[in-house]
Amino acid sequence: MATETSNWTLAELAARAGVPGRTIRFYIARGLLPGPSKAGRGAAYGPEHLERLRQIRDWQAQGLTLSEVGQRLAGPSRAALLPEPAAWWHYVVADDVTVQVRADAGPWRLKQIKNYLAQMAAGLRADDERKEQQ
Amino acid sequence: MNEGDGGFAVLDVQTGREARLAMEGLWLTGRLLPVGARLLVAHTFRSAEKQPLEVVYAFGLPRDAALRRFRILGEGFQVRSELKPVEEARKEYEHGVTEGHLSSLARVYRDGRVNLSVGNIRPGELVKVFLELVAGVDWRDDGLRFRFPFTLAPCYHREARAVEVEPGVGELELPEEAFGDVLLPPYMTDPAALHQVGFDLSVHLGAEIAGVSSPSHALRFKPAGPGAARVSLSRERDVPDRDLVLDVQARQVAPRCCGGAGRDGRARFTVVVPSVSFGRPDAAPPRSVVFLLDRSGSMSGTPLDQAKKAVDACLSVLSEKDRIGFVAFNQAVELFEERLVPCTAANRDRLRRHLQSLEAGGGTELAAGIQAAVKLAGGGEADLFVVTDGQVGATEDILRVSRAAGVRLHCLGVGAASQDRFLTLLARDTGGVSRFVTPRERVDTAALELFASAGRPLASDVKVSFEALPGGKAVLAPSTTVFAGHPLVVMGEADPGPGGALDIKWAAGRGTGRLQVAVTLDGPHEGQTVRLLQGARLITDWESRLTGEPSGQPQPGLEAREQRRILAKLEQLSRDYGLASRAMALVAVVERAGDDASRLPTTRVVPVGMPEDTRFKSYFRRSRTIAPSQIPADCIPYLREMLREESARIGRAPNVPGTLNEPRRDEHPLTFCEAGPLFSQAPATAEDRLMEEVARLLPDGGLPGVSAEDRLLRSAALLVALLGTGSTAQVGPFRLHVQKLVEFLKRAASGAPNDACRQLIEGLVTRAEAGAAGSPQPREWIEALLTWSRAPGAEAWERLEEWTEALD
Repeated sequence: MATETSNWTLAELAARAGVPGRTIRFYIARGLLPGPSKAGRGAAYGPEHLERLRQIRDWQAQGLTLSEVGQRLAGPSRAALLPEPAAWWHYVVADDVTVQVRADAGPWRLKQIKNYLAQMAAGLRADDERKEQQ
Repeated sequence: MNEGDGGFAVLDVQTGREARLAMEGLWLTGRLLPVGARLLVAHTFRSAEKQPLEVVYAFGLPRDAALRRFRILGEGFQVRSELKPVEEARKEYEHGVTEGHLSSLARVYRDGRVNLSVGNIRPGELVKVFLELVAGVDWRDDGLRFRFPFTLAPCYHREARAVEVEPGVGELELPEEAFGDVLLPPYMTDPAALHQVGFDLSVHLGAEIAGVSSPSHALRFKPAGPGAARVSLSRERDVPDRDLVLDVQARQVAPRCCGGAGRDGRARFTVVVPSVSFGRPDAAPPRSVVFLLDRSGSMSGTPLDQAKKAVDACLSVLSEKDRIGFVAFNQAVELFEERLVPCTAANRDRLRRHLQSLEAGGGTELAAGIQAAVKLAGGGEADLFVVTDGQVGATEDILRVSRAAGVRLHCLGVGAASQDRFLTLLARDTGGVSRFVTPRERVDTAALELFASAGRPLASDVKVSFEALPGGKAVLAPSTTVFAGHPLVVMGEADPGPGGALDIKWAAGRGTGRLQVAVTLDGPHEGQTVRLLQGARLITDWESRLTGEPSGQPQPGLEAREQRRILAKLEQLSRDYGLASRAMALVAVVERAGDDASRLPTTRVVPVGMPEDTRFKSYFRRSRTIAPSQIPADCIPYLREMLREESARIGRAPNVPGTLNEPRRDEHPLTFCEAGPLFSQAPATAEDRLMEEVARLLPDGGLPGVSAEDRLLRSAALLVALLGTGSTAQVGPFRLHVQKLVEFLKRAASGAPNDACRQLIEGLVTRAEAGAAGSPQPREWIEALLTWSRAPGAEAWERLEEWTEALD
């Protein structure tokens, strides 16, 4: 048993998991399941595929859609790829100016943005002070 | 865009533009006969990707339809499909895909959904699939209505999972235990970038065609000899966001027959006998009526508004002897009263207020609604009227509940992609009648029309005998009841030859009727088509009894045996008629030179447009598990503190910390938005005014007024207005109202101030009863008549006379 586990065909994986072949290919196309090490006749699927299929079934039973399963599998690192903003920091630069910055921007980028914001804040403040003096 | 993120990869997220279209076009062609349609659908697939593709196109079957076969065409090959038991076909397809061959499978699932899968389309390759199917039509006395789904409406099911995966793109997944491995298309709010659709059909009515029109698409119409025409899309292309609906009208209302020798050595025929052949309805006995109104989110806007008005207008033709009930449902069921109540003026007012308070939202638990309505009806001779878009899943379960209830269900389907197949079955299986309307038609007049037809069968206990037709017998038991506007359809077989006649007998009121209808069997091509149409109808009927998914979880003992019996019957029907069913699928595998088994095809599902009148947000909610949820809640105060310190160094004003998007949590897998107006409110038309006016009729049949004379004048004026729109006591959606008004005016005419006035009223009554509507009047005329202030007196009577004369 243990010797053959790492070399199933798609049909064998389908039979073991009770998931139709087309569904497995659909999951692979959606990135929910890693592809085989080889396709076609010599295709190789292993216990990790079986385990992942079980995991997907469990999540579906909890009411998750496939796109949600995909997000859960991708983990936090995928957050930046999503069209939905994670969170926004809301910087009040002056009384009449606020700037929103995405909270998941990279550290280096954030540093740059903050530099510019500081410049902007300083510039606006200097303007105000000049007006007050006049 | 992310390669692995969508299973379809059609829209580019950044540009919103079409990126790669796995299916480029869908073209519908074929022949429309008086008894059904024989269709050929051409699907063009092309891979513009670097890897081989497996493309899945999901669509819904029209009413009484079945797939016959397909031909798959590519560079240097052409192969026909074979009909095989589902499991065998699936294995053959899977094997073909694994071997790198071009493989195709057409398989029918529950609710008449079909997946057409084409695997191993090579990069740059063009593959065409020509799918043949036969489909039934909606028969009318004067012709037929044909409907073909260009899109697949999303459906409600308790356990369905639905989500908006990116702005304007929704995905719906059905639980596999109940629905098998069916794949549903991604739904796009913007259909502009989707595959193109078009059609070119020939119509052979066998009688002179008065016209072909469509409430859904712009048509090009070309006569092609007597009784024949060609209709095609008048634009170059269209988008898949609504069904195609065609109305074919004959110049004369007469029985129509299609028949001829089939390939099995027997002749097949279908005869359509218009309902007018069965005479006119008698006065209606007191009756019990339960209205069942779908108020789910997908009904929001005009459909629900018009449906409410229709219920109100239907109530006004009932008398105090009639009993009414009202049930509104979404995922919950709400009763107006716990029992049936007499249709008194007071009860009607209360129900009207109840109707006004109803808003659309939520799911579609149709089975629960039907059960509540049946319980309310209390097992008596009650008629149930359902107004719904029928966008539900697992319809076989609903049909089972409805059949067991033993109550007649009349259905009005509403929407651009209402489930015509299901609603037809629902009405037919319970002995009722059904109609559907598209968003560009009026729901209220259609509901009134259905109500007027369905309340009083024209003929009951209908018996068809085949003695005058050699070898004649029925293939399907014909209906034993005929309702106004709904023809009797007889599907049968006979010995080949010149034909003969059917002898039809029935009971009507206290009397009986008899009719002979000629059966001609001389159509050489028709015989085979009629045979296929009969097979499709039989298969549809049996499929509607197959509740589970054969490959899903095994069902308990008795149930499982019954389901196996139905599957065996379906397999037999499939083999006899050469048509696919839930038991048998169509498969083809093409071995091409250079097929490469080492590359796994990428699976793509072809997206479709949301039906133009269905609100996207009534099905699809935003994803629940977007990334912000992964920021642990207890970090948030810390993050806020940090931010405050950070920004203190930047600006001088106190800082507002970032707001984090809270992930939404939902108890139900499907959530629904509050309804908003989908259509801009159309200005009130003459029909709107009439609808409001007839709803005011009192139980005695007249309009309210300050005195007897005032009531007489007002009621007579309304009758003039109804005659001016073409309604009489016999025809038109308002015919029941005309009948009530006539009864009232006959009784009240003695209260007229003088002989001349009485004669005027009597003249109107005679005209309405004789069915002489008079020349149709312009809209302004109706509006002027309805807004006319009729203070009793000689002047008012003179005015009424002028209006009446205008009818001539």
